[in-house]
Amino acid sequence: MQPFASPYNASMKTGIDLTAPASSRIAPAVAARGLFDGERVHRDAYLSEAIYRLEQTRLFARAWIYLGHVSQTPQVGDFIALSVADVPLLMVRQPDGGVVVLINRCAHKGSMMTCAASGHAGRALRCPYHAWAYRLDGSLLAVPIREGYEGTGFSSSEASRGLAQVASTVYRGFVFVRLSADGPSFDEQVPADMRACIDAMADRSPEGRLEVAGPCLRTVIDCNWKIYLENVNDTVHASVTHESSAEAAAQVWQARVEAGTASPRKPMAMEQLLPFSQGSDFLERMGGRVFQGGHSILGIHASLHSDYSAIPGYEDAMVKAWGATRAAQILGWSPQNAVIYPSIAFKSMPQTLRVIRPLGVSRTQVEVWAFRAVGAPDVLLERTLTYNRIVFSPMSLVAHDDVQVFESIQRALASGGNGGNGGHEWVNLQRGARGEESGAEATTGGTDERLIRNQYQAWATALADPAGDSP
Amino acid sequence: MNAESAATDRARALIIEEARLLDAASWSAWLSLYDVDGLYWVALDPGQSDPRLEQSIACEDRLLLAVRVARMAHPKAWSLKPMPRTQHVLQWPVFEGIDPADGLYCFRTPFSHVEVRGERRIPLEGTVRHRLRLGPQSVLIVQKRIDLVDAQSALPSLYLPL
Repeated sequence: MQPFASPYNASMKTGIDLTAPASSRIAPAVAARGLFDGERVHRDAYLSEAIYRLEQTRLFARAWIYLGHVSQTPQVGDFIALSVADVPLLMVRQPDGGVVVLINRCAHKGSMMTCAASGHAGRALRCPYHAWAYRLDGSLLAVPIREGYEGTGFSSSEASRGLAQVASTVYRGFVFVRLSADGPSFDEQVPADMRACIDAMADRSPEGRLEVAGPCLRTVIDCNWKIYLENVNDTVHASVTHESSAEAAAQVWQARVEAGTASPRKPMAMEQLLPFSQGSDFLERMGGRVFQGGHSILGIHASLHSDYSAIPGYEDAMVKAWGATRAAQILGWSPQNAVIYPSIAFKSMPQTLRVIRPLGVSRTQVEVWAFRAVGAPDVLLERTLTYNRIVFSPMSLVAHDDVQVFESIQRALASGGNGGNGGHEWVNLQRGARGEESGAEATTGGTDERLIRNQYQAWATALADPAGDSP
Repeated sequence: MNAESAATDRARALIIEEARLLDAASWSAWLSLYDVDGLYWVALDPGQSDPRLEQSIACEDRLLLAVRVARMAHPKAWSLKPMPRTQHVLQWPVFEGIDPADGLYCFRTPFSHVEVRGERRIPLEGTVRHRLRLGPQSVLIVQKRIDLVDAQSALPSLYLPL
């Protein structure tokens, strides 16, 4: 399928040719400042190639981006390979049990060390082009025809330093990377409350440990990544966009109840589908919390996941593992979505993680991971897998209606109406916007678009900051 | 014609009929081909053996299939406007034998398939494996497993059943 090709020229709003490559670092950065006015986002933010490139260098290359989970590389020498901000990376399990993240590019001539998505390197990484070999930490181990380098000054060349390492950190098994050499640490960038959301997910395991459950579902959507990430914090669409799914589920279930063929216990799939019809009172009561840096927790008081039935034996195992107080805290906390901006949205119940990977200004890939809470009953994993299939899969019963909205937004924003029909230039995020918002930590109602505005506060700040740009 | 050959002919006819009903958007008739314990499964990994405790693209029992079919007729199923259409092209369904454990007839059918929605056209290829329960007068699907060639690629929305 071809990505949607926009006929749109982003220079119209700003008077700056955002598509021009020359000196492009200054122009889009200046332009970006005008694209979020505190309560509205200009359509250029979703449509401009130049803004997209700026996002890659100033946001995705500087933020702590989720790469993978340690359980994907259980043995020494295991690796996974994927790209962040167009940089090909390798995450490799080390002899000391840790992981390092390397640029997947041979120091010799630039060949990728592997094109496989995962595998086992053994004790060394070996380039398929000329057999340059690297230790698992990326340092150069051997080159062929060594005598050919004698007297060449090779030992002082950058190639002799091997594969470049990228800053990485592991939090409860979740591996994050920061492409830029300098910048805030993970703990400085991701607030303690957000890290506590990861804790709450991991601690659903009586052993405090998660493992990925199989490969991820991957879906690709012809829309800008921000449209997807906004929607993660948009409660109000659920009963409108997903009305057909919730009503179809209710209708089928009711027919079974009336016919006397319904199972005594409501099936897992029904527990997950029926709450999509929740009205605005409930959605407002869900509540949310926003944090500096675009991070957020939606559903701090309640969520569509709050009323899942108890799993026999699980609560006892949790109390035994964590004590009654902490177990109650973990089991009673099931926010709708926690967002560590700008790359992930996750839930502690079910244990699911979505990774948003921009592929282009109008193309976004979403990875959907399921986690097994080690030591918990299988039914917990089954709940996660069922949710992922029903709600996030390319064959979902729910996401189809989201996707068609996202793709229609991308098309319609690019259409005419710029200038002449002024309202078409902007995406409106004014619900709940009463007064100055600094992007600092705050509690909101569950329907307040501050949860989305907060993403744009961080976005605008990142795009306006030249620190660390390469000369 | 011996009894097994007659039975496999009936089973094969059902596999062809299922594809026809999907392409004709005859959803209720399609659903009626599944037995009460019927399962529609689109695997994520070719080596996958468990539809429920490993991640799958789709895994739907009669209850969820009924929801899918009910949604097809819902006036607010936004993503079904315009209504997508499919065309299945099946290879000859190969009879792989009768499962001695449960007496089900097993078939393997490579296919190609296209889903069209407006100007959007998604071609897909894969193999479907049917496990069929044959009664004196009936053939019903107990399991339909689909393995797409590119199951682990990033897939666009697939609006209709394969």
